[in-house]
Amino acid sequence: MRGYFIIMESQEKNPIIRMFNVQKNYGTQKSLDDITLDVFRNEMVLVTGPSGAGKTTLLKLLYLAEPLTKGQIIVDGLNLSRIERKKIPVLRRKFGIVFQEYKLIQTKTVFDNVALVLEVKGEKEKGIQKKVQSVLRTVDLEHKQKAYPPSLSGGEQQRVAFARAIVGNPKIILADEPTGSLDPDSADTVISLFIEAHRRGATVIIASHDKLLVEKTGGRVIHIVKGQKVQGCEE
Amino acid sequence: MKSYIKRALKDMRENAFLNAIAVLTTALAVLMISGLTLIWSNLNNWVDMTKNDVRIMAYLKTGVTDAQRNEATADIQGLEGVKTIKFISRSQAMDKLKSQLRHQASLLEGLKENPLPDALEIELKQDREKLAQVQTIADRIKQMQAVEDVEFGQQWMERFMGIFGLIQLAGMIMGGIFLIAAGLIVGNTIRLTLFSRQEEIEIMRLVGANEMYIKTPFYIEGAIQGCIGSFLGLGGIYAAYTYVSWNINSGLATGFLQIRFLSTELLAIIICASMGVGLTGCAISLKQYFRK
Repeated sequence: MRGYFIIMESQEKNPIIRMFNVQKNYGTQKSLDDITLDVFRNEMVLVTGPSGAGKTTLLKLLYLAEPLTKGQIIVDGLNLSRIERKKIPVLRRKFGIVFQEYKLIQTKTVFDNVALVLEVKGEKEKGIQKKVQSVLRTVDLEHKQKAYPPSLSGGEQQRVAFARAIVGNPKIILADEPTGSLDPDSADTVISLFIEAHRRGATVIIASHDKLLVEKTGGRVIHIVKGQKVQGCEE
Repeated sequence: MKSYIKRALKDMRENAFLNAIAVLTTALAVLMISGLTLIWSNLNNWVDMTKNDVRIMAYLKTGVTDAQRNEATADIQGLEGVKTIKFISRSQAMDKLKSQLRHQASLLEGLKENPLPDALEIELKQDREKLAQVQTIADRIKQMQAVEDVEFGQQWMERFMGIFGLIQLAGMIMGGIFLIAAGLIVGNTIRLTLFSRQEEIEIMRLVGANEMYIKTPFYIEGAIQGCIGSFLGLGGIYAAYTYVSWNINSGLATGFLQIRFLSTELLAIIICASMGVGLTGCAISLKQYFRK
């Protein structure tokens, strides 16, 4: 038993994400500048800062929605500066992503939206059925599995997005302003879902300027201002 | 694979109008190409048959005696390259004409006397295919006293071969243009579908879908469009073939012309080519879309 705990401890200290002097430019404008940062396994990290600070850009660099300009990022052993194009899907499957604007497919049902993550991995239909049902139960949307996103409220859509993010049991969950457009009750529900996912072992990185989220999750805060001055990062 | 086919069929249902246009264009291209192929293959068969059937008809003068006819037959038999000679009397020629005309044979009933001459049907050896040699034999037969006139197919065959070559070339060019058009339209259908589903594809990529997962249903869609289009086109040409051959069988041309439908091999080639065109159009659109 002791040996087991030793292994767990060493895994926890092992960074799952490493960023070295990362810079991201849009044209001549620097969005992120010289960011060095480690995120450890099973860590809860909150990236905060005012609008336009570069929080979303930082998340986008991690799953290669945007290429970085300078520096290096290593995600679970994959060096993003040298990653082959065909390996990008492999990288993205390490993440469960909750996008700011939900990004649900409007022509697919709630069930199909969530099942998509498992389908792209090539999982069998039986397994997909079971996992999706279970995760929809977790987010309390089992009764809406046949509904289409346009018929759902903002909070419900956010929960579908969360269900899609966790259904593949990813190592890392990324969320961009997950409570930004929700009423206080819905926001509470979503926050508790992130806390539960973290408790179950996922590394969670949330970009938000919602102080309530910071208070309730109690994670490490990384503060970014104008993409240049960063607090909470390694010196 | 099952899920890819399901997705492809679902996409086709959701974009029924675009798919119908692609299928119809493919069907038209196949109709055009298979129609030309049908004409070309039948003409080719007929030309081959005619080429092998090297015959000269020598029409005898009126009042030629049996002795004169036998003398002419012996002279012709002595010519190099002549295989067999068959005498066809004027009454035999009339019977043959009546049987060929079938329902229209009554037209001949009004004739007071048989206007057809006695004739010698001269079959040449198969190796004598060169027009010049046939011409030489025909000229020598024509000079014989008992012979009034000489007729042989090769005279117009040379001219026909020239026209046939032109038809063949025009057919190939038009078929090619139609194939390219079909490929472009299938490609554009896929492109429009891709653009209408841009957001969905983006989300698929963000949740870790690889290119094979995204592209395969589109390839299946292209192949299905090509396949359905080819069946429709071939169905159309078969209907036209049935109609034309029914008319030929019941009409004047009986015995002169017999048309055959496309062989199984040709049908398989047309179906595969049509699916290939669908796949190529699809591949071009996908390549352009994913280059972004």
